[in-house]
Amino acid sequence: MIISFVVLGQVSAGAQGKNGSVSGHFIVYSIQSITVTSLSGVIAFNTPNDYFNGVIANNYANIKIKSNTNWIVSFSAQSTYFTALSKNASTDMPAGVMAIRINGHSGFKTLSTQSQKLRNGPKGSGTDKHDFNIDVNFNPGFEYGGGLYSMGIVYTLTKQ
Amino acid sequence: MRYIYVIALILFTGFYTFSQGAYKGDDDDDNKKEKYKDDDDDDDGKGGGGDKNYLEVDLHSSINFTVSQPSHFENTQTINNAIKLKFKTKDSDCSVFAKISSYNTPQGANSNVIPIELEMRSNDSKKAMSVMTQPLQLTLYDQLLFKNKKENSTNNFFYDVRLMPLGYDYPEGQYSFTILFTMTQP
Repeated sequence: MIISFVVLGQVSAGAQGKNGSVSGHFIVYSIQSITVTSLSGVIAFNTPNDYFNGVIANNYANIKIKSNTNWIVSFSAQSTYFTALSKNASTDMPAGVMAIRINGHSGFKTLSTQSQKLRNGPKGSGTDKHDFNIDVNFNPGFEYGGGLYSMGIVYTLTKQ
Repeated sequence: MRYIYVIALILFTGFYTFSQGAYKGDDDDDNKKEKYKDDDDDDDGKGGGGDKNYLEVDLHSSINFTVSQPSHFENTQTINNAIKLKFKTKDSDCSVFAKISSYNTPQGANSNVIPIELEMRSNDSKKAMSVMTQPLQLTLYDQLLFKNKKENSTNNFFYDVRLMPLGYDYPEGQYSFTILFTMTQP
């Protein structure tokens, strides 16, 4: 009899209703994604005024940022000089004839091989901060031969 | 002296058996069957099949996700047939609910919105009612999954577990959750 009482007591104490649970998790990694899309073709210098004043290409490219941390995007020239792609083009045209700004902002930043901050922003995506265009100013003057030139620009996205 | 040994042996066996019946499983382990039985008078079976009313939650696949690339942040990830609910409701109709009973986030994360959904993949019940067939985003409060008329046979419901698109507002770190299923009877 004593044994029976003990056992019944255990059953009553174990009654918790009818439920059950499962557990899991998800791991979120730090992510920074940048997409640069060219919106313009080759910039041409066709008139004397282009040489006197330079050429500004508004909305030259679009930049999209996706990041789950606050971020900074910087830019720099891939090389000290432009690459001459045609016969008469000069090989000593420096990166500094080119400058960049965020579309709608004032003040161009002259391109160099030193990285410069273009913009910073909060985590997220899809806002004006994360999706913007840039303008480019080309102003080589009269010192360089006519021809076709190219310059690589490196955009670097880092978390703050 | 021999009787004392016998009594001791019976006592030990009795405690062991009923402790197992009241077991609340370790939430951290995957593929672990967790079962909470009621205390009806039908305690003739230990595997669920002999009980009149019970709910058994089986984890068929681990419900762990990795969010490491843009597509993960922007699209739903699904683990198909991850959870099986096995139940019997012999005495009366039942309702089965689900909620998040525990949600732990890294510092700085929004813990008010839980991006976990359940979607019913299939079931073998002929007496189910009010079945939620659309993906159901879980909250900290019980939400109805289905109702079932009383019947003698065992029924099974299979569920996908879905991680909703997080967007880029989720800081890095581990987010842990526990889904609690509850079967109620009037």
